[in-house]
Amino acid sequence: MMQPHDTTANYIEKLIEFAAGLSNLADLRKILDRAAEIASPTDACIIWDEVPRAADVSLCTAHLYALAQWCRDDEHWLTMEVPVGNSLTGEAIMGNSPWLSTPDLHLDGRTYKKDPWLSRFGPGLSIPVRLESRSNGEVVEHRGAVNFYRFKGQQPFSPVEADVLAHIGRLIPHLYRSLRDRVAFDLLMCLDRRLDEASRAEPLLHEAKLIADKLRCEEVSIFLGRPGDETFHLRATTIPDKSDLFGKVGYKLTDPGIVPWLLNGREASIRLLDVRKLTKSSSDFSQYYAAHVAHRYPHLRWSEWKGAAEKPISCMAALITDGRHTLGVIQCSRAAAEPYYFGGRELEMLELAADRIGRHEGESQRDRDMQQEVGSWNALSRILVELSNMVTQESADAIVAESLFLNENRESVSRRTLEIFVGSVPGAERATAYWRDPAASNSGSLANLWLKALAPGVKSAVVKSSESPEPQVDALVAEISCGAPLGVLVIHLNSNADVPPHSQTLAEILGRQLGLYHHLYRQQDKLRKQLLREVRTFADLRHQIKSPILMAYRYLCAMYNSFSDAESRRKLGAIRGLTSKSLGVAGCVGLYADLAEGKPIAPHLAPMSADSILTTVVESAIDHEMICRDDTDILFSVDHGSFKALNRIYVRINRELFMQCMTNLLDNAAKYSFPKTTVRIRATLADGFVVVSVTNRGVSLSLKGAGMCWNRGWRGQYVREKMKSSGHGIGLWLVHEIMKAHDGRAKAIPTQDKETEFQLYFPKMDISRG
Amino acid sequence: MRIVVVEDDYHQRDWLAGELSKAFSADVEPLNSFGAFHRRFKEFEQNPPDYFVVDVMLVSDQLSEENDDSNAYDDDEEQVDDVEDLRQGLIAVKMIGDSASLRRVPATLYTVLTRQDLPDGIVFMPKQEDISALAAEIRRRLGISK
Repeated sequence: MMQPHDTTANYIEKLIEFAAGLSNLADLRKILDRAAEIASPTDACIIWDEVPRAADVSLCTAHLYALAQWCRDDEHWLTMEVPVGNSLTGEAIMGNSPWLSTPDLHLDGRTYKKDPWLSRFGPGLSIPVRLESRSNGEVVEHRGAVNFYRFKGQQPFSPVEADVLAHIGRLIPHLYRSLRDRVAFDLLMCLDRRLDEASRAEPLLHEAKLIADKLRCEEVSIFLGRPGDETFHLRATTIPDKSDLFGKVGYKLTDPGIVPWLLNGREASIRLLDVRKLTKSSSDFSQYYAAHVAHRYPHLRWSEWKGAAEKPISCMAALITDGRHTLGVIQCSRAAAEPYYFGGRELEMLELAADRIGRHEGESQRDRDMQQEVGSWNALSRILVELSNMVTQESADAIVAESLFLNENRESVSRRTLEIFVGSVPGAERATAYWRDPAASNSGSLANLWLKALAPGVKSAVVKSSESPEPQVDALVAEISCGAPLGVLVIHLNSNADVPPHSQTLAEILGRQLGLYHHLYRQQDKLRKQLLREVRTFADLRHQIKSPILMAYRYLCAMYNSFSDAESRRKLGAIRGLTSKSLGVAGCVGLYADLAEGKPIAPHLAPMSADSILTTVVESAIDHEMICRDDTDILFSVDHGSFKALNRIYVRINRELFMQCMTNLLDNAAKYSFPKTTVRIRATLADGFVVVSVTNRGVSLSLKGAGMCWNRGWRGQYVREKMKSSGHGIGLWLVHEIMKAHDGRAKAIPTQDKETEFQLYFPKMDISRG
Repeated sequence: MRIVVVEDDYHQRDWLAGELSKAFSADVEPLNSFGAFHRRFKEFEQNPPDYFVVDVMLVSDQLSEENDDSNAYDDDEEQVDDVEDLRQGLIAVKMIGDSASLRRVPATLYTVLTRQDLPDGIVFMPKQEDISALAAEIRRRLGISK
């Protein structure tokens, strides 16, 4: 009963203070309880809301449902939709009065009498109110009413009571909105914190439980897929037994149901108050209800709930998006408490939660995609680095030839290159390269069968075992090409492995690498053959040059002594020296050609005495002195005594090659000696070797140079940078090769006191063995 | 008439100097290296000769024990792949062409190298068994009748 000293303002203040302490949407019931106390005795208070989209239909079929209720006897009751058309409440909503009352609901013709629950009540008061909700970010206003009831036999509501309760009634939607905002804020804060620290072991389950708690429902189920997917799977649900789900564990876009209806872009969210009436076994309201639902949600094909239940089965669902793509649906069903309906505010909360989950899930998917993408490119980088290391650290020729070695089935059987691929492509078990045989018609070959798995113009594909030429093989197939197609690379996959994105691109790049290696190998082969042809040409030229020069040299040697005229002898000597030099160069050309062709020097060795060696040495010394005499005045002195001291010692030697060695050593001595110095040639015996040495005074040879000078192409830094004298570093290299062929060796002693010595070691013959 | 011959091969230098001297009754100054040419260059600028005959492949300098510093050079293993350019005669001819006082003095590159061995646009005369072709070229460029 209203207290005489309390004013309306006091009631409002107390109610506001009370409502500020509430934290749950279902606490709306407590607000109704407190409101009912103001006009005690009041035995029930109900807040009615318009059924969704009621404004779309004609006024006579608009309906209201109980958003929340309080009843004194706390008797369990069922809510239902009441038509706006023929009820006290409806008239209050449509009228202009701040309230409408009746002394006895049972006797009032405006009362909807089909609800047996209302028969307990006598006096009734209905206050029209404006309710507000948000959907898809837009504020939606809808009509409602706050009704107060007294049991039969009680006094009707007086005008004074009605006025006060009218104020209270119009306040209730505002209090509810504040409550909703607090609950929404709390829900979002908890969701944000939860999603940030979410354990990925049970992704989204805790979030679903949080939403279920805030929205007071039994089931929250989250369905997710990837953009472009046709099937969306259940990722988390608060229902322990999946057979008790409101629906299925996964939906295709073509399935009937709320989830596919949303996924097909019909709406962003949907709310059905009581789906029991949609079942085939329902009461005679089913057709009527279904028609309304069908009118509100066109193209919705229903299939979810087949069971029976006493309480209303309310259901709502909202799309989960990342702002650009649809990622899934979040669905709630079976409100856990009175009034067992999901109101507009609950749907609002669900939409907010779906938005949060969508943004987080979108970010997570992008992170996963990025990781997989980075993983793929890292794999590619690893492969290319390993291939590059393999080629640079080992003989390129051997690597490429081995990698592309083909067996009789035209398969690459070498594993080194292909193993690198297998190690880097996730899910790969082994790899094989099949090559086309351009010369043969092999339409039935395995290579061609695999190539057929690629559509025309497609460079790579994932081939499942049902389409594979080899039984029960899942594979990545990529064309091997370098311009033109050469074959096919088949990477056999583990059938349980997911093929990460970019694996096909990876396989295509690998196929092109193999094609490139094949191309390089062929080019290398061509160059090798071309070089061989040129080397053989040099060998032939050597033969053509050598004979005439040799003859010219022989004639000059014979003529030299027959001239007494000093000038003539001088010129003839110069000619002899130059001819001898030409003979030496021709010899070098020939040996160079033989070695370049891969032919080792295999001389015919014959026993030669120290005396014979001396003769050869003296000839060479004279020739070189004749070249130098008028220019640098370098003398070439042979220590005859040192050779004669080796009396009765023989070596096995090829005279022509020994002559070549001496020519090369004395050429160097002439080039690198200071003017007016003497090059000394002598022989010694050391450790079973006959050692012929050439010593000159001139350009320094370092310790490093003494080791490297026998390498092909090596020239000292001073000679290259300061002197810039002609030559390509092959003279001493040939000496080294000739001495190897004699089972001997060549040695350089680094310069000391401006003198450098080169030594030739010939194994001494054991005369006792002949 | 004064002709400068830059040629590092003794026999060729000796022969060429003799033949040119006979053909033109000229004073022929033989130089045996690019270094020798370089050292004389300033004097040539002050007192230009009438003609230069320059070999392409020239050593930097003739060896001399007094000026030897070869022991100061360190050898490394990277040299095998280096290909140095030994055509110092091309540098000598460019120096002549770039000099204000020498650019009008004719210079002939005289070499056994072929067109493929020389950069595009280089004018040269191949070495032959006699100097008749070289002599004709000298007469032409100096405007001398035979």
